[in-house]
Amino acid sequence: MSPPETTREEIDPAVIRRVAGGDAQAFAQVYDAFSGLLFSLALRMLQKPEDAEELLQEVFTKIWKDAASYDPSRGAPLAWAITMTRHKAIDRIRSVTRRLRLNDEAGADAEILPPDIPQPARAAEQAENALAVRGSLETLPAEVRETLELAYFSGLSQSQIAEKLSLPLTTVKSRIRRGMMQLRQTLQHYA
Amino acid sequence: MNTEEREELASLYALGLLEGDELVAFQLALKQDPALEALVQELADASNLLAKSLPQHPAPASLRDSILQLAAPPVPAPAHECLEPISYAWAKLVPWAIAALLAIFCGFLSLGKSRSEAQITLLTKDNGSLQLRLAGLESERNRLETRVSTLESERNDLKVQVASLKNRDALKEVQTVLLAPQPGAPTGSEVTVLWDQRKQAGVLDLSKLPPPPAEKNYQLWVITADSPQPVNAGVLATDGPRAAFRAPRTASQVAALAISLEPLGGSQSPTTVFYLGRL
Repeated sequence: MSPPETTREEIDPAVIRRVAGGDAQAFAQVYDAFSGLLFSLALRMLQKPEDAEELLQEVFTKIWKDAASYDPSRGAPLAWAITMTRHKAIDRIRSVTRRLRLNDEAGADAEILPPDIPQPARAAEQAENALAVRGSLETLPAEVRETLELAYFSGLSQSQIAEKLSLPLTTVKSRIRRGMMQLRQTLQHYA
Repeated sequence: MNTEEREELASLYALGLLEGDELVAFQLALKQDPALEALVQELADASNLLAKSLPQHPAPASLRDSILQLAAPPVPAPAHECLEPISYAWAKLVPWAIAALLAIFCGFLSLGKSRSEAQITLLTKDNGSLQLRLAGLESERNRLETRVSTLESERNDLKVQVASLKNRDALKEVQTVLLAPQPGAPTGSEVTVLWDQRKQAGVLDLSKLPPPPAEKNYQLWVITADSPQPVNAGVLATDGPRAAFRAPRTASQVAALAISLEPLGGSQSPTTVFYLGRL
């Protein structure tokens, strides 16, 4: 298994400090390093390119304004940016889901449409810069991988995932645990 | 909490899937268990591998420009480009302008002070002069008050004099007329009358008139210019030296007085005239 190419996207925490100091060049450096991955994550979670663009704009606005809030002891800059992007995307997904549920309860024809979860295998095929990670994920049993990706990308709660997969909640929790521990091992392996 | 439970809860927490009581309990455990906290951090980092495994979709180029615009310094407006050097030049002149204004202001203050001092000196002099003038006026006032007092006194004297003169004029209206004895009158007798023409009254001096004979009276007559007949003015009482009388109202423009001897009680017209005098 080759090391993941995530190192290519990482930047030094000092760059974030420069952004906090209003360094436009540092900000451009952060954008160039993170935008591809963050846009891909936003697109994966929100499904619509225009939504993903809006989200990316929000994320980088926050990075520019709140770079001083970045704490290096809590992770690398990329992890900070990924977490920020994911949380904002989940907020959007849950907001849309709430609106659709309200429409449905009002008798509208709208239907709750959780984001389409593309097949992990197909996603991995398209991600040339994440082959190593994909390789690691592919070592996971398919059902574990599916559950883990739903937990990470869909914004669904435990019970919603269980409902979507028609599985007991305990099974969902167990699969998530197994998948996360596998990822942890992968991360430790390449650290 | 066994190992599997710790890993399960830490995994769910790292993915943001813990809710309600489970979340609260786990957060409490996190605060008391640094190893658990480290595990959560590792799992959170590990979960990001899922994001890193995604096929990369570059963000639109236009989005880059839009986002990096956040950090771009504000572009000054064209008008500003022209005005800025001027504003800067003005800005440099501001302290000098303020200093110049202060100097001018101080000059005005100094000039004003000198003028004020000169005015104070003049006013002091004026004040002394006015004090002297006031003292003079006070003296003049006292003098005038004395003069007024004198004049008042003189006026009172003049009033007295005027009154005296008026009295003098009144006496002027009184004339002394001798009623001359006519034939048949007692020898050596005469009657004098003081006649006030304005009052149409008079006083007869009877000191030189002998008493009338028995059963006889002296009767006074008024002779007027417009009446051919003498007008009866009354029987004279001869018990005193003087007798006052007044001309009857019907007699106007008294021209003469006459006294006749008449029967007791008087007559309608004079019988024997003893004394006659023209006024």
